Amino acid sequence: MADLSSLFTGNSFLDTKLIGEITYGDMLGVIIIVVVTYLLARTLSTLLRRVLAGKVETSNIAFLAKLLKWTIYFIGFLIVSPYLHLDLSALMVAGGVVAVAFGLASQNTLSNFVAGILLMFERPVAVGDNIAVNGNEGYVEDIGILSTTLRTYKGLFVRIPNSSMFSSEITNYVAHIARRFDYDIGIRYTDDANKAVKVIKEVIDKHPYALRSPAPSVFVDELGNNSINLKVRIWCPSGFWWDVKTDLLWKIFKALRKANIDIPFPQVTLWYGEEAPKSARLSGGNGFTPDEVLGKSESSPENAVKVTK
Amino acid sequence: MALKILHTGGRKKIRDSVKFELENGADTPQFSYGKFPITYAVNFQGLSLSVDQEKGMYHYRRALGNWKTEKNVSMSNGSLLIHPVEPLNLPDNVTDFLEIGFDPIMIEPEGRCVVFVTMPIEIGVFIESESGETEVLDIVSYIYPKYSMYGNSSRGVITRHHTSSVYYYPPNVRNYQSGLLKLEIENRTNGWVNIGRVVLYQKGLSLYFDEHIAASTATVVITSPDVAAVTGIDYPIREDMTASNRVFVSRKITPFYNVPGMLNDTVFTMDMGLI
Repeated sequence: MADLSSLFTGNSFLDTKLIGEITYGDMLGVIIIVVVTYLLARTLSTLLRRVLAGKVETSNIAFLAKLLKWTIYFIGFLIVSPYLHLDLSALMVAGGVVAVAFGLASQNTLSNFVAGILLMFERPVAVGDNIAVNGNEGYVEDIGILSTTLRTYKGLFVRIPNSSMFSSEITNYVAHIARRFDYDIGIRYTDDANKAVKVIKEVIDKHPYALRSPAPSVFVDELGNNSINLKVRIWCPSGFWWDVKTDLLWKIFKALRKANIDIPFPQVTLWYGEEAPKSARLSGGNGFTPDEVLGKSESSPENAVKVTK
Repeated sequence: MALKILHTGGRKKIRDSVKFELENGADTPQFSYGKFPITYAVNFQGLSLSVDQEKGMYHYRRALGNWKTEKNVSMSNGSLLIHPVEPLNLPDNVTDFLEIGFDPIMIEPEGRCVVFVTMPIEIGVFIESESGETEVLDIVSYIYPKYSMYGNSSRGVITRHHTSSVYYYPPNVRNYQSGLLKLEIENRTNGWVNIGRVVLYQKGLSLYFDEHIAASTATVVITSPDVAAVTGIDYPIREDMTASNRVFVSRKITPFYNVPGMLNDTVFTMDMGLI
């Protein structure tokens, strides 16, 4: 500043006083700084708008651009104040006290503000995304400077302070273009698992949103206590996963029923004392004998469970 | 009926025009696309479509099997346009990308070939006001859609998928179900490459139709064994074809546009495999 001031001194005209202690030179300096500050603020705020366009919400871009502009104006005012012979030392002291008081009072607000700025650049969520955060699940309605608002699936309005949002684990269900969901489907031991797999794959193939690639997988996952458990894995566009999941399960069930493949209830087979085990009712789908299905050891009278009435 | 197809034929580095003829089965029923008076009715292969006027209001009715729709249109006068449109609108505006899988083609180093594949067609019904402004009234299709994904879930695109055979001559197709896509494939690498699919961006998918076929053209420039730039060409595959009305809608559903660096106007760069 000293260098800049020296440009306007040592000249009889510029040293001439205009108002009070303010000389023509001071006024020239003020004009130059004001013009430069104005141009700088305008250019940088426009640049900021362009850089953030499409990355940050429009309302937030406008706010940040204004914040940047007024910050530059404030710095310009601080620079120009010596030319106007303004003594800011008293103002600085008062301002410092006010700033400390303000800082203490608005600690949470400031942390939310900073978190909001960071969230805008990190962009873990966007308006309209389907997310889960802090035990709340729903659609992002707005991402503000201080808070983020959600509309839960029940239609409730939830405001989450940005500091909490920033430090929490966020699950964004639609951040990727596709997602997978699984079904566990149990069929009877008497049913043909290969046939069930084929039936389920046919149903999935007919659904437009069950993606062809990555291909769905259907396989025998577990031989459970009461059923052969099939695992069904399907990929679909993220925006449609819930619709597809609810739609396909019922279609799979109906197709299995139509193919005479059923989902068993939990069951316990009891044999009494000396009584020889009765043949299980088989649908004849898999070609196994009752002994093969039930297990040779279990069907042996010596291994039968004795039940005391 | 003999149809002349304009075609850059064979494996040639220099583009030269070769004409050949197609016997497009005369007994294959073909749908009549075009511009019709606003009060129009058609009944074709299970599709019934009509616009009638009642008390100054036009009433549009359409049925294809159990799939029915009705709309009221208030207009003084105008026309009805029925055009083949890109198969990216049903059952929902999910994606802007059409993926066609075909039997892999091996292309020699710095080789070039022209092939035809089929693509599904949707039938777009538009109304046109006297001033020439058009608006989509209805979109219907005989083809059941199936979606897929090109790339992976974090960096890829959802695509409308179709499987086709590879034809060296334009095949005989039902113009209400399938269209032709002429692919001019160029291998710019110094080695052999295999290509078994193309992904086209909707903006580059320019359909043209005449009384027998609906068709589009695309160039595929292979720059490495796993990378190819697919560009839709706004040019008819033969003379006297009419350009279809576009149903291009710029979508703002960001999850389906997770394609940084892959899309440039009408060019889609397939950089995650060609098979």
